[in-house]
Amino acid sequence: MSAVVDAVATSPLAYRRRLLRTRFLRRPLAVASLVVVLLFVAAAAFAPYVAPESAGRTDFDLLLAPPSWRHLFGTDELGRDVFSRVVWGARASLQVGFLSTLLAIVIAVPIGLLAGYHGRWVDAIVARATDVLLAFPFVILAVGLAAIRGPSLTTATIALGVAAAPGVIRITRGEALALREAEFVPAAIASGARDTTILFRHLLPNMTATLLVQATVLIPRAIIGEATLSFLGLGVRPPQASWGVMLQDAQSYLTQAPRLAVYPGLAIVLAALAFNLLGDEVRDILDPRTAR
Amino acid sequence: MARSARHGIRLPLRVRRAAPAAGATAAGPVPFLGFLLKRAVGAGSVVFAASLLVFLGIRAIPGDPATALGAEGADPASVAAIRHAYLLDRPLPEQYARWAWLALQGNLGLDERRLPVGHTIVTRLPLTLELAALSLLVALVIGIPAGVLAAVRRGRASDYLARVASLIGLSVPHFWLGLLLITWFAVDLHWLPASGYVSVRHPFGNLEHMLMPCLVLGAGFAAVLMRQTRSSMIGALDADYIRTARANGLGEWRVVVRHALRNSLITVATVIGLDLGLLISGAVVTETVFGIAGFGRLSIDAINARDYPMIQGIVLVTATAYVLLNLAVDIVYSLLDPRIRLAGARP
Repeated sequence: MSAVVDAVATSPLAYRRRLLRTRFLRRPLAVASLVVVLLFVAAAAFAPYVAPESAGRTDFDLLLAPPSWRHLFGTDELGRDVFSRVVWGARASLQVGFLSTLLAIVIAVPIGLLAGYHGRWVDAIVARATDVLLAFPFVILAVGLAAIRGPSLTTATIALGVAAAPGVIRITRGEALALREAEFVPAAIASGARDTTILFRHLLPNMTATLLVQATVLIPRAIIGEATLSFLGLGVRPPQASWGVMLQDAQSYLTQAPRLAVYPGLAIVLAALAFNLLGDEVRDILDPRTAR
Repeated sequence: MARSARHGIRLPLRVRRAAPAAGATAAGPVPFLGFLLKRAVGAGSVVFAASLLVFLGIRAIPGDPATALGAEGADPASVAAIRHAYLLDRPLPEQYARWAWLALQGNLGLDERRLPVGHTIVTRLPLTLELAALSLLVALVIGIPAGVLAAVRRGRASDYLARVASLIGLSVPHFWLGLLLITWFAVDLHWLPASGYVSVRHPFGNLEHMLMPCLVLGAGFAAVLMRQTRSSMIGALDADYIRTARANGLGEWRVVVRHALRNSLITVATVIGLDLGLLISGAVVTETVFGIAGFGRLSIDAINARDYPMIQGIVLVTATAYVLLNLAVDIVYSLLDPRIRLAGARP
């Protein structure tokens, strides 16, 4: 307990970090979800070493083979190793998950900060603009973007990032609105800080916790979103491996080999669940009111 | 249970008002009309901006639409004639004004097969609306009671169970759940049809075909609603007016439903409005999995056929529908909570 008391004396930011670390390690679910997330990240990063075969290697002597030691999850309709494809698919999914979330934050945070801090007409314009963006559901946005750019992993990333931006704008705006009243703001103004300094040096670091939690909510959504778009043919194009593409292929073989639909689906659920759980746990640690 | 109140314990007026009065009609018709007008103007400006984005977006497609419309390698004179016929030689604002004026009248132009886009969309839309409405019903019936239960029994086994279920619901993609249900209930058990759609004129066949799609789409949305209901119910149950209601001797059921839930529903309604986009996106995927020839299926077919006028119409109609549905949600929760229409702002 003394660790917590010590921490109070330091800055609120350092205090929260410390709180996060000590409380995090005491929660088995938080640790477990982090481990699963890290396993997926490792599989994605080291796919060439983890996957026994390349994603596209076909073996026409071994079509739709059941699981065996050589092919842990069996093979698909082209004799490709399903386990290897699931590992390679993690790459596409996590890449879109992280990049689209990053894109959403990069677009949304400056806009939200400015709207919340400045208020008045800036806030009014930003509010209308987010309303306009919200009117385009991510699949419809992806349809429109695919018409302009052609379907690809990048198109899916942009569609998911832009679709996620309005939510982040609203959250950042709300935080900035609350933080604007904090005592350190007039103090900074009095010491001659410019608006940009106040926004990025004083307001932004104080909302890292909120943004962190928001990111853990957005990443699983983007992972599911990527799978959805690839399944619809709006994201990753075959023969490149992605969990959504694998499920699209599996759809034609539901009667013969339903397991082809099971493995990539379980990978999506496990990855999304780990991120969602991690987000819930981190939020509960930082804001105990919601937990109990 | 309301005995103490009848025994003449009179609370100060201010305290009794702390719980927002049910069905208060203090706000007369005039503020409500003003509120409606303000909301309608806001919605109109959003639709205008969205249509502008759609219009400019379609012009960002590489390639000259005139050459796409005419035959490949047509002579300059006929390309010029096409440009003139389609107003492509006019300035952009004029092109937009003509297009928007026709769109307002329901004329969205002709698609690649020279069929009217507006008519095609109107014939496909009812299927998607039925799917979305029934899924929303499924989500409300599961999500709100589960959220209330979890909030009331906070920290106990049923709360834990509901939270785990909602986390799983958030993490399972609609289309995958759809594929699994098809494998089990259609392929293995032959209980339900795997795909297709039957007109509402045959209610039994219609429900038989809609059951799996609605469960699939509704389950994911139920998880979102459950989490939102739980967290706003927890906030509401800690509020002073709940303590007051309990102190007044109101029964627990009445406290939870009439006071806490009623106030929580406002934020839940906001979330439903904002997440309608998820429902629309989900409908597109669900229709693809279950072979329902609705609006969502239409958009995927349009992108595969590179049918740009159709895509333009679909994006415009979706954005407009989203804004109108949100306007409806705004009006509904201004009826739930008179404070909103008096203040004229969202909570």
